[in-house]
Amino acid sequence: MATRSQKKRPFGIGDKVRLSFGNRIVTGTVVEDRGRIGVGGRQLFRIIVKTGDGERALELPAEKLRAA
Amino acid sequence: MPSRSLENWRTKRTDELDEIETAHTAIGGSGRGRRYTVQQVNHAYVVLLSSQFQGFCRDLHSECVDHLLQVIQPASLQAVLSAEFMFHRMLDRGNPTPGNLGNDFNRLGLEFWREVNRISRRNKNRQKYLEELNDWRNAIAHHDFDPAKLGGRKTLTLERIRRFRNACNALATDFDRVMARHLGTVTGSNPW
Repeated sequence: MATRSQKKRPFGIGDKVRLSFGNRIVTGTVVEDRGRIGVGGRQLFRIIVKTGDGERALELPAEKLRAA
Repeated sequence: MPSRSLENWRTKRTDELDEIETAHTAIGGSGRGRRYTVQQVNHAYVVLLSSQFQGFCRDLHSECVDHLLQVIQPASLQAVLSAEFMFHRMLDRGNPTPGNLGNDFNRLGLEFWREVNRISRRNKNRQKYLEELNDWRNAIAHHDFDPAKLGGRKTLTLERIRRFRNACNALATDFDRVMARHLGTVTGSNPW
């Protein structure tokens, strides 16, 4: 059974997160909770990361993100 | 079983559209005042319909990308590919026009409209309704009612909006089917 902490939204808008981006670990900002529309109903987040050529948007499930 | 995006379209998004339909029928009175109010509600209805359909299409695109990403190895490439699929995604800022939909979904490895039109001959006509819905949405948002761009019409009727909505309903179902089939072929497992 899911505990209270598991039910809590893992990330909020504006949170800084770390993620694997190719061979690098980059820091990004959560800009949108896309809801439970991922595989098997997993929650997706829209993240903005700064790369060498500017800002890039991407969407990943919570399990691929770590709090920065 | 439908995608989660289609499930949301058929429940939450439909409920919101039904609310404005209810508001329409609740308008009382007669004469010019009523006609003006009805027209304003119709305008709000069209903008909401276009916005909800955009939301559905954007959700479906994200859902499809997530299914594609989960088979990508090494996993560290998933974020890179997600960024590529999201790069200049038209549905993030543009209307859900046939052109924008084709632009975004074609990047997932199929000829989107060719597949959608293959499912039903009626989808070509629905595509025209979708185009007209977005023309009306833009006319309302920019207050520029050029009948030449609006199928020769100056005013919008509830009946016309219902046709747009029926077209969106049918297209939503067929988008879901086309993408389920495509993802099943590409990844080897049914996405939903």
